[in-house]
Amino acid sequence: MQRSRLTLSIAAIALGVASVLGAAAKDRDNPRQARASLDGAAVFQRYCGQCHAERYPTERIQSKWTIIATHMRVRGQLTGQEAVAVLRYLQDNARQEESAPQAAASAGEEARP
Amino acid sequence: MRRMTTVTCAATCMLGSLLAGPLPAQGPLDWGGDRFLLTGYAFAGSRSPAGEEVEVFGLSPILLVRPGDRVLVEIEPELELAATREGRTERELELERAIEYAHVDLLLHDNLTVLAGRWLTPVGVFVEKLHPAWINKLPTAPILYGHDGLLPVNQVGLQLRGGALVGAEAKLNYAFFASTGPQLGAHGGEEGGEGMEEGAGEAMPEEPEEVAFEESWTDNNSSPAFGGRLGFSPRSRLEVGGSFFRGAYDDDGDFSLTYVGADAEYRLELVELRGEYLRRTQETGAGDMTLTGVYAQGALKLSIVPLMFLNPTELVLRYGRLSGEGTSSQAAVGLNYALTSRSFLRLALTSDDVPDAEGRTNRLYLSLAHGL
Repeated sequence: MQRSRLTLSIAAIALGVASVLGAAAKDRDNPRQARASLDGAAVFQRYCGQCHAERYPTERIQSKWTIIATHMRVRGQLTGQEAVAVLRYLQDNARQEESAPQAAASAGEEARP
Repeated sequence: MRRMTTVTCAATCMLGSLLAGPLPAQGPLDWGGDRFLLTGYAFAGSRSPAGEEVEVFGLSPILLVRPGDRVLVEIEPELELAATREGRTERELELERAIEYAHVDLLLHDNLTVLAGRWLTPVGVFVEKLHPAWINKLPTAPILYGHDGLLPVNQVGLQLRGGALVGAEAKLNYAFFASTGPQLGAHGGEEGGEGMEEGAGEAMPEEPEEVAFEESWTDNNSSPAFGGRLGFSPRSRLEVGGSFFRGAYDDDGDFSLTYVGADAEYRLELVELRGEYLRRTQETGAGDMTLTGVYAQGALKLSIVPLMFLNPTELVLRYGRLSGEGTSSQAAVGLNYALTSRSFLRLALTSDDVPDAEGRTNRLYLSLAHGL
């Protein structure tokens, strides 16, 4: 009884994953449709706002969006293509990373009354 | 009074740090390039009347390490300061610690990621995606979820998850898992720590009222649990999903818990509607016992009101019901004020109706939540 339940569960999971991967393969056969949905700003608006308030791309420097996009790709179940599109959008609008002398200079600017 | 002072100080510190000035060009958490990130969230709050226990401060740092392009390590420890009141005057502050999740992700395919370790249970949506204090639109969890809810918050095992575009706009997403499964035991409260370990499996299945899920990393029987969620989004702003979870919970693996759930979400420009349903069937020596929980939540952005100060405010309504041998319900109304895109001041009034209680219990919550 336990074994048949186990087999049934594994079969159901395999079927589920196969159907999703199958759908993805079908989507790749129609790249024009796939590309149409991969505007980074649209992907950002669709998935990020689904759970939480949309964050500003300027909140992070470019390199940090890379790791956050990976984290949210997993949590938000984005496809690899969607994650790349949203990362490109975030990095294009992110704060610029500064070298140490630049950071010190800008800190001095901010401190000036 | 001391608790209120603690909360007020914590809230003031957080608010002060938020409003102190613009973000520096390069912040203190920006080291580590694209391989390391420390993020997370924190909250401070209070409730009146306090009741038996209330969480007054919480910090959940999230450590993300990306050793390679296809590997991610995610760890979220959770620290919560809970105030417990015994009698009319005696109060106690207690620090509660937990590991919310700790897993390794392998990004094997455009549409498939494998998770190994301890992860949030992907049944329904709230536990996995909406529970963080800075995301949850109310200071409380829906009546069927949370740490004392129907569902174990985390599982240890393997999970396959991902999504796939179907056509121009539709999207399928999935999360399927095999885990060590649920097990009985006390959790939280006074019997935390090692006492919880000792309590594992001691509750007999004939005593269904003892059901509580233990914060455990190990299995108590040889039967793995299986489950997952399949979601379908026909277009942006609309998603429906179905969940399933089954696993033996007793030491001998003879009795199982089975969950069946459904969820839906619909968003417009200013309105967000969501709801979840979850049914838990517990096999016991005395027959099956079923608990059914449901909640519906609506949020309206008050930017439709032509008053400048209401622009960042959101009105939230939620109703939840838990039915078994008796029926409990909770109605909540709240106001969210967005200080920034990641900082929220929340004021909420909840009204609970539980069996054997005299009348409804009303509580007022005030909290400040910040996503790092």
